[in-house]
Amino acid sequence: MLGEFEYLLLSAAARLGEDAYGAAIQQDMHATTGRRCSTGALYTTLDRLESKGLLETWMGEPTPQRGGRRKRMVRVTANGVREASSFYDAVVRASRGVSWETARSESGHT
Amino acid sequence: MTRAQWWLVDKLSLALEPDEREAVCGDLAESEDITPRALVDLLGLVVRRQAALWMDWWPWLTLAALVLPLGVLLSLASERAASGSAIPIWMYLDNWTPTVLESPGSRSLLLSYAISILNRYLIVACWSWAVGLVLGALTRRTAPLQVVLLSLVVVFAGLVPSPDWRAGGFGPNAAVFSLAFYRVAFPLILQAVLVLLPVVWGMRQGRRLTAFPPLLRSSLLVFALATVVVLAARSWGLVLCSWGSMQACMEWNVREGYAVLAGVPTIRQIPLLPMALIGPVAYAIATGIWRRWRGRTVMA
Repeated sequence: MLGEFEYLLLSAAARLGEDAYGAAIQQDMHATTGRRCSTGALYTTLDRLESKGLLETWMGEPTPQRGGRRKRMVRVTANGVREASSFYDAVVRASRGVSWETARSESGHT
Repeated sequence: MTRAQWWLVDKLSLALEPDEREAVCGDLAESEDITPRALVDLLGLVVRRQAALWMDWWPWLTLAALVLPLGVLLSLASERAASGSAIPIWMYLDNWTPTVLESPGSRSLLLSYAISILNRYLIVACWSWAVGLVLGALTRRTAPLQVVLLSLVVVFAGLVPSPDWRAGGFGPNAAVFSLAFYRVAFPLILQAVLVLLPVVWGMRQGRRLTAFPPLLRSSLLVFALATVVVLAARSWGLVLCSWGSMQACMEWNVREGYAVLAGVPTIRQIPLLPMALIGPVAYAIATGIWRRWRGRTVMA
């Protein structure tokens, strides 16, 4: 089972697709959750998810914008998609019948 | 972002793997905003990576077998170099008079003091460099932290003076050691110049040894280790005499002295300066060979 931060990271990487790399993932996570993602948390979690086979990373091409430094590119693997999907289903199932879920659906979605 | 901030980022990120360093520094360059928060983030990553490395047994072994004992020995050696050179330096600098250069006898005395002090300083500096090289080569990614720990051991071991000093018993040398500069500042300056700087320098060169061919790298490491071990064995008496009992100190000196008289090979017979120079000279030769060989390969 994934952790919350791992799920957010996988979601950001999946959303960014071909453009998923360190700084872009940090910005995406900040934009979608409103929470800052620290460099330490990002890179250690990337390592952990890669060792679990949920994503793969490789060094991309250097860009002038980055002072000629390369990016660590990220791609979610099929296993990663399965795990993230399973985490999402679990959260949806766990939220059914809970007061905040009902309140949200009544006020926001009707 | 200021140059100082980039300098800090550059130095901090040295503790990361080269690829990760490039990716992280690139991310920071792209964000074009190195805030204190970003620096703390980077420090956090370095701490996490270092912590993961220290889960292994190897850094702990090098800490126990190399950093702690060699830190104490280097501290005592630099302390001995400071106290040994303080008196002639005080004589000639604090009490300088041009008449010192007038008579051939006093000129010769000045020269012999200068040679003796330089000899002593060179031994400590070369020894420290060899320690740094060995640490850099053997511990690689934990080397920066190992060097920080070594520096702490060197400084704190130097703060534990022998009982005579603690009691303020400077004897006939009170004129020199009653001065705070020669008692406190001078040993610290020598620790920084003769121990800490060469250790850092050696560590950086030790980390780059991976670029050398295996045979050259191994030979160099053997020479540096020989320098470290022989000088450490030669300095064991310093530990006994500075921190051990007076009896143990006397016994060690007498045993070594008798061995010399009896013609028994002893560690004391190994000349210090040539031994200290082995590591740096071997490194200079190896670097020369490697550059030449690489140059030929590139030309071909």
